[in-house]
Amino acid sequence: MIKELLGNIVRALFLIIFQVLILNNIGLGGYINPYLYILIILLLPLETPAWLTQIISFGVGITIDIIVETPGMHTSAMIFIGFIRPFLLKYSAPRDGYETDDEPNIKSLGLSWFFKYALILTSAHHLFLFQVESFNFTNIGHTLIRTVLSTIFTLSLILLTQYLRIGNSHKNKF
Amino acid sequence: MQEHAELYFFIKPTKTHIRGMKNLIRLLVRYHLFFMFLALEAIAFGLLFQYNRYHRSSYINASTAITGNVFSTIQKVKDYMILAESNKQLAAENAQIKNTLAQSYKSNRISFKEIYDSIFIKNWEYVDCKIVFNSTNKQNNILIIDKGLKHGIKSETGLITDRGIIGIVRHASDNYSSVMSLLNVSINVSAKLKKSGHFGTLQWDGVSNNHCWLSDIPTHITINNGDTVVSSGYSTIFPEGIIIGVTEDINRSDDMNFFRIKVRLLQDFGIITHAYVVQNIFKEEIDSLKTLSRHD
Repeated sequence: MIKELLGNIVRALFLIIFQVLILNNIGLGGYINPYLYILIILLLPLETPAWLTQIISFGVGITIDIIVETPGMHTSAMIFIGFIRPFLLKYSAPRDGYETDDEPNIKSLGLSWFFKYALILTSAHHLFLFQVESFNFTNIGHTLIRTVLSTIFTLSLILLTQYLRIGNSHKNKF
Repeated sequence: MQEHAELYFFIKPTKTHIRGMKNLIRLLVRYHLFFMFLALEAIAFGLLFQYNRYHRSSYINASTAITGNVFSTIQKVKDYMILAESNKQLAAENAQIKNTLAQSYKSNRISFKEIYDSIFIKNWEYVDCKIVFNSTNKQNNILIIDKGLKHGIKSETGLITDRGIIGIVRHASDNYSSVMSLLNVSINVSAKLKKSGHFGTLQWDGVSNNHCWLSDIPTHITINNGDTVVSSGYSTIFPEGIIIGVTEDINRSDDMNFFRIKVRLLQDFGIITHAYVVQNIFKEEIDSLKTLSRHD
């Protein structure tokens, strides 16, 4: 339990720093902005209470926002996926429910499940974020293109980290 | 027992009320995640609008547009509600403005000048007036003029123009008077032939607006077409010699020794705008003498 908590905290800190220092500087053609930090929410233990998920989302979002000086933008998008994650988990559960030692990753629940799970949350986050960023509906086409391209890029990074993790030993919770 | 049940009916709402509160709390508990989500999003958007200049301006623009729309809609409804009142106000204002227009005024001035002379006593008094109503298409046509008692108009006086007799003033109110037109089947005007001086009675037959009939002219005199007909001066209404028309057709009446002469009126009654009221200053004196002599 303590180990799991520590692992999540370490992962969160690492992902926030990685996001702020490296990924935020990647802007391919103005369309692709990868936001890997949502992995913090994606990889939270399955038994995390829904309210705690929202609180953590809020905390992560506002941390990113404070660092990159866009108060509210990432926070609102993160609260959104924090809100939908419990429902998504509930409806995408296997027929006989989750096992006690199940974790939301490829190794535990398989590529197909994880891909769908990550795709929905990532695209939801990106769409919300880019829409809030542009903040009008006249540029909706541009927003959608950005969402699709960035989702592809972020999703690739997420899957990459999954395989990195699988290749490593169990101790590395990243 | 029945009465008690009825009494409970009035107490019940309190219980329902409590149940309502419970329901509300149950609702909050049940959807606490959603309400939490809304609360956190509210905070996030609060930050967004607080610290991001672009979002704040968008927000202000949008909210201004929305509140503007709402207020203008409310205003429209309000305007509609007070339509009757504002119509009344507008009408009052219009009336006030129209009251200041020059065309709302009629002249209250009369050209009146007394000349005192010991040899010639003023006999006839003229007051200029404007025709404000005129009918020509009935059997009993009347006119309304814009001078009345205030301007010294009395009933049973004459109305003339430079082209002829128009009618007889019948009733005078404060500011207006009604005039029995010469084109009225019940009017009788004493008229005479200017050349011979024989007089008769002028009447309208109700047919042509341009013609009257002069009767009671004896048949022993010669009359030519085109002879002038003027007022006789034998009534107290019109002075002598006011032009009326010219003879056009001379008929002998069937059983009597009188002519019946068709007179073409000089005045076109359809286009009268201004006229003069002519009053005999000694009318009352003459009338009282007539009354006294009635039984002689």
